[in-house]
Amino acid sequence: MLVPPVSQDAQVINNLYVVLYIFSALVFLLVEGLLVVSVVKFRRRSANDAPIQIHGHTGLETMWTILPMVLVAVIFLFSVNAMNQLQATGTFNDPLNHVHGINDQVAIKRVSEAKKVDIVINVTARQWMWQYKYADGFVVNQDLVVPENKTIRLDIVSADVIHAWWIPALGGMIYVNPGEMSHVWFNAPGGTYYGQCNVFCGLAHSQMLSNVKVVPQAEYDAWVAEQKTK
Amino acid sequence: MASVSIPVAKPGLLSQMAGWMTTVDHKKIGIMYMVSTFFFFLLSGIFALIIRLQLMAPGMQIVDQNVYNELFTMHGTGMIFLFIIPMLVGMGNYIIPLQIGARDMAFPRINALSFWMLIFAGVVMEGGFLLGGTASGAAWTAYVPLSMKQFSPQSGMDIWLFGVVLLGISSTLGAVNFLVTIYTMRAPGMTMWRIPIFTWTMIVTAAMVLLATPVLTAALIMLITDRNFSTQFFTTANPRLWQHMFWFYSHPAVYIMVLPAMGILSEIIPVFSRKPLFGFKVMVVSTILIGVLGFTTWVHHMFVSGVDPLVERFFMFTTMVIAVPTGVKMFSWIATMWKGSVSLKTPLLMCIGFLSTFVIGGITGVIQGAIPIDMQVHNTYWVVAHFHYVLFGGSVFGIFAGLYFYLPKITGRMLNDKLGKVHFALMWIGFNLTFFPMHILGLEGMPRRIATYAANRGWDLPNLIATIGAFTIAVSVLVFMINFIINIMQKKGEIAGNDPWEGATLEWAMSSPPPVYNFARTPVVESDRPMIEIRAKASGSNAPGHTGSHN
Ligand SMILES: [Cu+2]
Ligand SMILES: [Cu+2]
Repeated sequence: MLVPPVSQDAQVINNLYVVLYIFSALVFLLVEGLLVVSVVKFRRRSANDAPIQIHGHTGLETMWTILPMVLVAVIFLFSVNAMNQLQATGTFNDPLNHVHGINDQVAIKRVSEAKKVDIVINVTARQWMWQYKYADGFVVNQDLVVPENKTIRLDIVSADVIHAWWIPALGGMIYVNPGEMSHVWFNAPGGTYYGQCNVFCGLAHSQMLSNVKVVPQAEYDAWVAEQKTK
Repeated sequence: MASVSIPVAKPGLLSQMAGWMTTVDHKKIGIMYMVSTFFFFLLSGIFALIIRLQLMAPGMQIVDQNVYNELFTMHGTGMIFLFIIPMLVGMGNYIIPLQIGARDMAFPRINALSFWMLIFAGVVMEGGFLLGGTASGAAWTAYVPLSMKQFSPQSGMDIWLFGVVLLGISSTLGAVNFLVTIYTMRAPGMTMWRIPIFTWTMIVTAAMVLLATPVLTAALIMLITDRNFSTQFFTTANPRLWQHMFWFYSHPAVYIMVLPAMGILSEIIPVFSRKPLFGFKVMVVSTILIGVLGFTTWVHHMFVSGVDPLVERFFMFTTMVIAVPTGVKMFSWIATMWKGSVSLKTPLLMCIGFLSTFVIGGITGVIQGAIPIDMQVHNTYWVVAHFHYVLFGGSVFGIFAGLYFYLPKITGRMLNDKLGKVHFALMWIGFNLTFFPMHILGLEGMPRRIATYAANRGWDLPNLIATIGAFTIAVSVLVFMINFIINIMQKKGEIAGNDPWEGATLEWAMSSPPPVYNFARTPVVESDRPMIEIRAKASGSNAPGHTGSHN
């Protein structure tokens, strides 16, 4: 990935990407190489060329059916393995609780027990902004501010159409459907991480930014105090 | 030898037009399909150029964002519904009755109806621009609830939906027509394994259309009534209901657009290599497998929309598995050229364009089929790159290969091969310049469908390159049009003759253009490449319509 991964989730995804990239590069080189050779080496040299009429070759055909199947199986296993890692560490914490009905109390309870978190923030997506409601009761419409190296859970709902939460450096994209609640977990070092709504949601979709500022705890506490006085 | 009846006096323009408008001849209908869809190609291409101008640099305001949203919606729907699908249908319309030795389609009037419904639907869809707000605020996916009246109140949205419904009915009718034609009207002797490969791909495509399109049509009608007649199909349902119905059609639609192009490749590559198609039966079986598996993967478009992850794993598996029959095809095409005598004329170069770029689209398809990767590239420019490598790298290169291959048959004149090569080179370079950088943009986090972007994200250079590439493609299409105007419309091109490429199938036995009635006598087919025997045995008589009488 070209956005450097900073969260554990993003790191797992990045590792998988590197593996698949290597497989892909090999397949790419093989196919393009064969293509170049067949065009250059076997190009027509005279109008009377009469190549041998080969109709097929069972051995070859079997080979290029079996080999891709093996490759695909390997890729599938790598992917499942990465999913299990995500499940253990972050976003995929509890698959059935990732997205659920907005009033599904059972699921809400499961989510709250699923993983120990330091801060929960209620997020509302609406055309065309993200609103963050903190436990202290204040609401901000600008960037999301959180303390560094703390596990954060976002409980996200939509006030109108479908939006998607995604911070590339933190990994873990998720749709926010009207009538449902979506959850994202992350734990990040200090920095500013860019993001914006990732499902087309109407006129000003391109301006629906969701940047995340991760700051030291002291700075965060000062910021919260300031927000409360507003 | 000329079997076309010579009119006493040249008919006037009006009666000529009336002739075209009332025709039920599959060849004339095929030509009308190809010509009109080419205009939709140009229109949708102009939309793409405006999009690329807007994204050339950060913060550009060539058009405002509601127009931008209309443009990408109409670029996508225009290219898919009004160009790629119907262009391939048009080629099938022209070629398939000839390939199978039939005089026309099974239902000539329904054939004409399908065509005119397409034109009407196209005008209706594009007409939204005149009403202000085509499908703005909805994209081609028209996700509910964004496409509901509350969020997309404009009437342009309704007529866009109406247009797509008409297209759905038109292509469903067309699919029935193709299936019945191929099932009932093949020349005697054309057994299952002697059906030409292009016809085979159209069988599978038509079957897919028949199974998939009614689902989309139903969903669209439900959406129209939800919008206008207070029904509650989608308002009360699971938020993913629309997505399931939409992608149940729209994933198979990818194969509806690619399989006929693969069929064209499978016709051209053997002819230009002077070898039979490597593993004909395997090719047919892999086509059928792609058709079947194509219906099992649609949820990969919904990996981050809240589907149960256990269900998602199933769809991740099927998505990866479908790469296997596709890979088999790639290797079979290469093996067809291997040890052959490969003639590097424009039709074959276009096939090379297909093979060399489609492989990237295939690989990226497997990569993004991995759910963790999809969580990072879904809805980004990576995906835009991926499906353009499939639909442009695949279908559009295939379409141009088919045009260079079949236009001599259809018009009787050859296109200029040098200009064709210029077209190919510019299009191949322009294509890769446009779409390769989009992979990088996606990995850098650029979402699709954004009307503009800020300068601080590092997206400037790849976007600039993509815009340069888009205009290179535009120039290449101009070269093609010049070639067409000079050599075909002004009749400056070489006379094609019956069989300019040493073709393998029946259409190359007849005159170019073929006579109105196609075959004077129904040909009898004795192998999977009837022209090989016909060429070998035809020393004297080469009259059209006598193809079956040899041997
Ligand atoms: Cu959005
Ligand atoms: Cu798909």
